[in-house]
Amino acid sequence: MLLTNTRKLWIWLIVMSISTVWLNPQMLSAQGDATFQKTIRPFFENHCIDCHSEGGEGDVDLDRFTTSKSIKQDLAFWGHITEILERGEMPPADCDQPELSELRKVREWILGLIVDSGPPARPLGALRRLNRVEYENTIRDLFLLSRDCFSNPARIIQSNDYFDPASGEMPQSVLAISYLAASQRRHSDLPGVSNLPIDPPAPHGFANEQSALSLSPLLVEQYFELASQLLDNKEFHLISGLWRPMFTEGDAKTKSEQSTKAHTQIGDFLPRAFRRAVTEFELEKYRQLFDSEFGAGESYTTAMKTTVAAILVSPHFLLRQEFSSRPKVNDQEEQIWKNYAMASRLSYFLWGSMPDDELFKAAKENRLTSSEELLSQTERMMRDRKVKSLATDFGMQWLKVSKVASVAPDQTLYPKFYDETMPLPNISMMIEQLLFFETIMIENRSIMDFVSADFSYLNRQLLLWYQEDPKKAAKFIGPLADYEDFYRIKWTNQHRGGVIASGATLISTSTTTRTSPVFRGAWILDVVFNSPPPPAPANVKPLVPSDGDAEHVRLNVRNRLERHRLDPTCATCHNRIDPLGFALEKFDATGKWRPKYETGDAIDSSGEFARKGFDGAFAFKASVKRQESRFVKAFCEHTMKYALGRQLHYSDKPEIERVAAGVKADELRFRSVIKRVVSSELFRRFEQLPQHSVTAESVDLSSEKK
Amino acid sequence: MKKLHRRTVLRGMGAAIALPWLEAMSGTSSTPNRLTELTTATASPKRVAFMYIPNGVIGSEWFPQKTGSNFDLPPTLQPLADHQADITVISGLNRTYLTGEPHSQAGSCWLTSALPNERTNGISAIDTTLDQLIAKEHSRLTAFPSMELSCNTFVDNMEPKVFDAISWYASGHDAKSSNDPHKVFKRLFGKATPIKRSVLDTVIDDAKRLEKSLGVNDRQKLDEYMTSIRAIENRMIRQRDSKHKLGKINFTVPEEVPTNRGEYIRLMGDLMVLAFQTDQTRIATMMVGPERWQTPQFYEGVFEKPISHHVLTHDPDFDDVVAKVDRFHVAQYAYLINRLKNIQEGEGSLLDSCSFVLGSGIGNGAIHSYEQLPVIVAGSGGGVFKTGHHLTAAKGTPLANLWLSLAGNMGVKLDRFADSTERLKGLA
Repeated sequence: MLLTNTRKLWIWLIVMSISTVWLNPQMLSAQGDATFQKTIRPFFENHCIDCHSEGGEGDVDLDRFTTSKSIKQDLAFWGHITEILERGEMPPADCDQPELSELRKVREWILGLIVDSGPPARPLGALRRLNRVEYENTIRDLFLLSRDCFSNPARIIQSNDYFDPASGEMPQSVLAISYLAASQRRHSDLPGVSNLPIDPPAPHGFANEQSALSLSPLLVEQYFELASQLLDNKEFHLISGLWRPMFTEGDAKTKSEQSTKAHTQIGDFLPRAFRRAVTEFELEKYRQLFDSEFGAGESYTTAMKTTVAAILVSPHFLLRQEFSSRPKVNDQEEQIWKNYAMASRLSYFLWGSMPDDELFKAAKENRLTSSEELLSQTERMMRDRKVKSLATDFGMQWLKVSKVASVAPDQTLYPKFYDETMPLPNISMMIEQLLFFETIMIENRSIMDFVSADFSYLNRQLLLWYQEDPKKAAKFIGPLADYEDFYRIKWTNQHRGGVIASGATLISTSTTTRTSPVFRGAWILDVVFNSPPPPAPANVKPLVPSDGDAEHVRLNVRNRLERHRLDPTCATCHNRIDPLGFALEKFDATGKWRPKYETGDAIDSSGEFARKGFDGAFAFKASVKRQESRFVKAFCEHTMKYALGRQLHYSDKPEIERVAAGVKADELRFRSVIKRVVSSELFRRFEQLPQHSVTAESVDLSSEKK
Repeated sequence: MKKLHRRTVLRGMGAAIALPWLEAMSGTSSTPNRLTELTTATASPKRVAFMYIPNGVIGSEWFPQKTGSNFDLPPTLQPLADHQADITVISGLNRTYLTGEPHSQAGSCWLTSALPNERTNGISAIDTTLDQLIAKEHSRLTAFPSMELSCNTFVDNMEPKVFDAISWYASGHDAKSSNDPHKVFKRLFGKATPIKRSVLDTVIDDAKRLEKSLGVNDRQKLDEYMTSIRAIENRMIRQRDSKHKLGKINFTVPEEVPTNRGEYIRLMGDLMVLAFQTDQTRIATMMVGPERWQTPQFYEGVFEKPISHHVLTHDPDFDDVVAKVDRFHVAQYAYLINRLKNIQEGEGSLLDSCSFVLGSGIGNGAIHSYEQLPVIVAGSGGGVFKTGHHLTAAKGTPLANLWLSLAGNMGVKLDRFADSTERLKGLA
């Protein structure tokens, strides 16, 4: 009875399918009221206003917008409308559907209006501290370390020899030693040096947003401590290319020679540490700090350590300051600041670290304001090994991979997961996800591969876990092969491949005892479409018990969710979420393939997406691919959020459309996304705060004298 | 900065000269009035602590049937049997839910001083939380104005901080909690890395100059830096002055962080008790676990395998399991009450000087209800609050009424705290 009703609901929903619609970025420009009256208003009258007028459905009143001016006053809301239209959520399936060309015109018109209105006046915060990863990478590059010295589990793999972006291809086999065994460790690789706490990401964002990165006494204490721990550490001295030239007297014999040497060293070090040109005043201040220590009888090395320790806790080192928050002093100074701010923006985006000498040089020569220069720098930086940060930080945060580390499937239900002769499969799955991302990045593949691809990297354990063709497995793996060897394979099960059906995703969106179509669906909406479902509000209805009401039948998870959706308040969101999760129902809670439920019951992995039915993961992935523009835009949005270190705003929409259209023109290549983001207005613009919010006592740093 | 006149102090303090909190006065910048006010009510200084349990509770197993002093202990509260005379079980307290994520609000806005309608998107706790408001009053008296502890051992599962922080200095500015018992102990009693005055002066000068070039939002960020530097300066002074008087601390932190959950929570709690005992701080928050994380955890002695607390709260198949988790948390609370009770201070016990709250920001976790919140207060807050009863608040009483009472008892003079209507009736 129950199931029949739900079935009917499905059939009723599957009326038409929406295929992907690309906007024409050329069309996103100012359009007047005449167009509104002639095309736009009639569109809403025909399709929306019947339900959405004053006091209408969902408290949405579209009737009150009678002129283009009235829309201009509520652009945030209209930005939202473009999303609803794009997703095909409205008009409802049982209503007359607009033509695709009509839809496109309306969206283009609204976005054009947004462009026309210019960037909104909003206070932008641009000062933010380095997060843990950025801090660690910056220390590595600032002190010219020969290896990473912090054991950061976010990096997943310890061994990086395989990673050679300049080669343009990933090797057929990769030696991948996991970091995760050490993930709960308190200490870094250097004895006596503690790790900083991990920085959690912003809600629906990344761990590099201002809002996510606050300072507290506890943390600042740790910066002080860490600075002296590092500088006192013998191992650190050995791996730092800076130690000998900077921290030891060398040939300088006399006190005055040593002092001169120190001043030169500080003069080289300070601009690199502050990642910009420094003023005479600043330089003098730190030289004096050295002199006072040195003069008070400290050795050259100790005085230098004290000076550098101070630099490492200065707000200029710990915080990234972008130009936007500074008042305009004069054109020349503004150019200098913009160049250095751009160098940092680019290097923290691509490398998660400070700029290198070439970038500093380009900044000094005022080259980083040109788009060609930015693109050629990007090309160069994408070939550098440091670009790994784009995979471990952006990529793994985007795919929410950190959650995979702490899964713990039920030991009774999944005893093989805990086979003591093997490492835990979830750790291998994290490595697999990272290698997959790196392959798309290094080989500059189409980003549609994220959705569906025929390859992956598996070790012996995952080959068995995923029940991939054992004969084929034998071909790759000799008896001596270790779990640390990952081999590039071609999938035999076409339902696998891509990030949606990856082991990492499947296992981290399950509970300890069962799959969770809700978690899986929400993951897809968030990660694949950048359209996370709203959180379940307070006073929700709980799930029905698995024994139903009085029927004494064991209900499977799908049945229970179907009952949950009978409640209209739950249905609004769960209709969007659950079906996507059902597509993956033939993968169990540990990422294994299962044709049937453990009880022997048949599995229904059919559902509906974008008003088109599918059955199973393969068909679902195909329907996501048909929504190409939505995925590409979502991926560009995620990338842009990470690049800018902030949430996106409605006024950013038109520029995202341009970036996405550009990526489409470049055959959807990964590197094209990065380059289009770098050369976009959003990335290159430094928003200036209105002058009145800047205080009168603002000083001209360049003319500041002792 | 005026140094306290010894006679002023003696007058205010009665005979309690030998107690460690006196050390706070050497070199202090507190005015005599302020100090007298905070210490005259009892011989011991007053303390307040908040222990937070995430994801709500199974109310039917938690709330007593009978009100008043002759109340029953339902299954979940059984571990408190020995301490029934020292606690107040409160029922009927509510909060206002705002549109948005119910779990992040539950924890991050549990102690918030903001009115419910002042919050942005219901996500970030706007404004200072109760513990930090109190800490501001007491900041010059102890080495640590407040202490934030967490029993969340997972560092891999990255969720936004709103799920994992109950203590906030200001909107968006969380007081980072510490989950490493070694670091906590070292911070309290270890040898702090010496920080040179010249280094501090240099970076303070950097910050001051930087501030001049910043807009409003960025100034707030920089202020976080400046405030932290000042807190470090204050701590250095207090610790230098009081260290030699702390005496030997008879406490060993085990080499490895306990993998046993109960042991871990008790260890973090022990550190809190120790900090109170040695008067290193008077205000503490302790989060037993983060809100909504689905990370499975192992509750030794309760379940045979790891379970995900949050996931199970939403599945009525597992109500009995969730009730057992609740009881497990109550048992850790009972252990800490016992510890506080067994430490003699002045005429009474350390517990007598405390208001030690156990609670959750959600009532019924299954439906994200903000009504009928579980709250227990142990200790009489320095002889002020009645204990040994089940207090049934009138329907619709805001939780903030309790917070207003606690703030007042800690010397923070307020007419209102968040959406409070009055001090909680029946508490004193």
